[in-house]
Amino acid sequence: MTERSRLIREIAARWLADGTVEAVVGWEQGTYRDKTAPVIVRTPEEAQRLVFNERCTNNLVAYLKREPLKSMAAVGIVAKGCDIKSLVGLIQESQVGREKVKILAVTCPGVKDARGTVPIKCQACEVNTPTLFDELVGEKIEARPDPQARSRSLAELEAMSPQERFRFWRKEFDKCIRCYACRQACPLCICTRCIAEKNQPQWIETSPHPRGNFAWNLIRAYHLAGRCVECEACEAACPVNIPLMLLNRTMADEIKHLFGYEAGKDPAVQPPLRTFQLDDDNSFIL
Amino acid sequence: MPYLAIDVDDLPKVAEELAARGTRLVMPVREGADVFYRQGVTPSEMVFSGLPKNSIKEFLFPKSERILRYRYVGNEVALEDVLPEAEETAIVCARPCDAASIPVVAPLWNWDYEDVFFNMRRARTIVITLACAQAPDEACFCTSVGLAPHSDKGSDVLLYPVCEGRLACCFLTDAGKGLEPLFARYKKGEAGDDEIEAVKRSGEASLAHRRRLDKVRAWLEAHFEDPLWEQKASRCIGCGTCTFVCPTCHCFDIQDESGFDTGYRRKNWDACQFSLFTLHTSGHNPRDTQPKRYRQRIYHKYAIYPEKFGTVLCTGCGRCVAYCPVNLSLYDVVAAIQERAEKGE
Repeated sequence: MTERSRLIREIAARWLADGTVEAVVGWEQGTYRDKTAPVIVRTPEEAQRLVFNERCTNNLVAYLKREPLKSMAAVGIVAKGCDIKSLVGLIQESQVGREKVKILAVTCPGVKDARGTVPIKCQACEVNTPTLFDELVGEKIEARPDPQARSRSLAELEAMSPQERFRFWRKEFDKCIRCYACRQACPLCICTRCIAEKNQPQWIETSPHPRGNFAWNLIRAYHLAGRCVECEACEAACPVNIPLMLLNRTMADEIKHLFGYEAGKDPAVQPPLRTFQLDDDNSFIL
Repeated sequence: MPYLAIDVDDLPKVAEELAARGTRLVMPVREGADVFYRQGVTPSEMVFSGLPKNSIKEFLFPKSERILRYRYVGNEVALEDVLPEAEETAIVCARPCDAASIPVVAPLWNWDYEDVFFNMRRARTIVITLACAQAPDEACFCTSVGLAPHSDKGSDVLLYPVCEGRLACCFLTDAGKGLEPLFARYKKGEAGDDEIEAVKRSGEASLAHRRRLDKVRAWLEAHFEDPLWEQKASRCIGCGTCTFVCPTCHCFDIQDESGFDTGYRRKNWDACQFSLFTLHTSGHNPRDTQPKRYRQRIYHKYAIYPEKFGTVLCTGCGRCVAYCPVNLSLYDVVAAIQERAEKGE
């Protein structure tokens, strides 16, 4: 067992024993290949199942928005720096009270996805050592972000003509089966009833045909503009391999360009699409 | 009994000849690091190993299809049937668990109503299956549900990968036997029963999951309320991945999509894991939590469907094990149930 895993178990067990929290969500060893699996533990004994390793890819913040954690008064969460960025988003949007969540943060040198490759978020990571936490586990890790990692992933798309780009997305969205794994895995898809589920009237066509799939994937991207913290949970969950992060990174770049804002960094700052200022850029209004 | 054998490299050529007859080809091909069944691909791209991420379901039961057209004519609404676009299709190099799914779901489509969409496609589809000499994925558990890596259920032709890169061909149905002259043109000797038995043994021995699941149904019938459901399924995030990658899950939604004066009624894949699936008009939802929805999936596969149609609604393909975004393995759940049943718990 790694030192991080040992400390996570110790702290989670203490929180559960003294009633600081009702449950802790963390990772346990999975049963398929070397995957880990999210687990909700409620007793100090159950806390001995918790682990941390380079396959702890799931963003567990997504569990805060649903039962059984949603209605609990106090919960603990084991989180990497990137996961905490999405928690910052939930705190900014008053979805989760900071006082409700005890953050058991873990320093992270980077994870590996299902294919054993290092995700772009890890190559570009600036939060190897989290700054928002109640307890911090692990040696401090100096961030060495590769500033080009994101832009390299977008270069091919940006070089395309609008027609080529449309064909690219048409082909990718054709694969969509509307399983909504992207939405369900996303910590910031917080609507209790998603617009895709609003059927009186049916705002977004639920059919997985080109029109319905464009509508769904684009509205989700728009809804995450200025909110997505690039945790890559949607792309990792997609069973048909749609490169959703190309959309999300592009939207994040637009928001940074327009408002100088990057999501998930500072809980005290309001996201630009959630607020209004007199000197906002109005040039897009005719 | 000797079986006709061909070189494995000649299978794409057989597929090409089928395509030349105007048959739509479906086969596993590589896309990035994964394998998918695709139509309209070049036969030389065919891959012989790996578990495709999708099943063959979409080629018999598409993710979305038109089933009715309606038009406004004056003050009236005119209805017109829409017939399925059912092309002559050959699924080449299918996995045995996928081929088996066709006869597993067929009774459902012909129970209280004969579904012309499934039936027409099935009648025009020929399935050429490659037996697994090696389990394509560690998630596989076909023998646990009474099938095998060499199961011929649902196949028209079953190919055994015998030694020296050859495929021993079994022509099983009339449609399959009709292809024998085509395969015979590529004949490279014959293979004997002993070689076929060797493939069967190696396939079965390579499975990581081999637990018998013969007590699951009886346990389910007595444990609708049990802490197991909450324990196992509290990690479920409620997406539809398991049901959509499943070759046997078949639930669908009906949607009407209107244009200005005409519209279509569509049949779309739906999933029992969605909160909207059982939401009543009144606002009441009998399956109001995710563990209840997860329980439903297990019940449907291992208790309800067997009761109604005499077969488990699962071919052990393992996709819901491999592709669940939170590693909630169906095999782990049913194996845990079997274990409890064996202990009399």
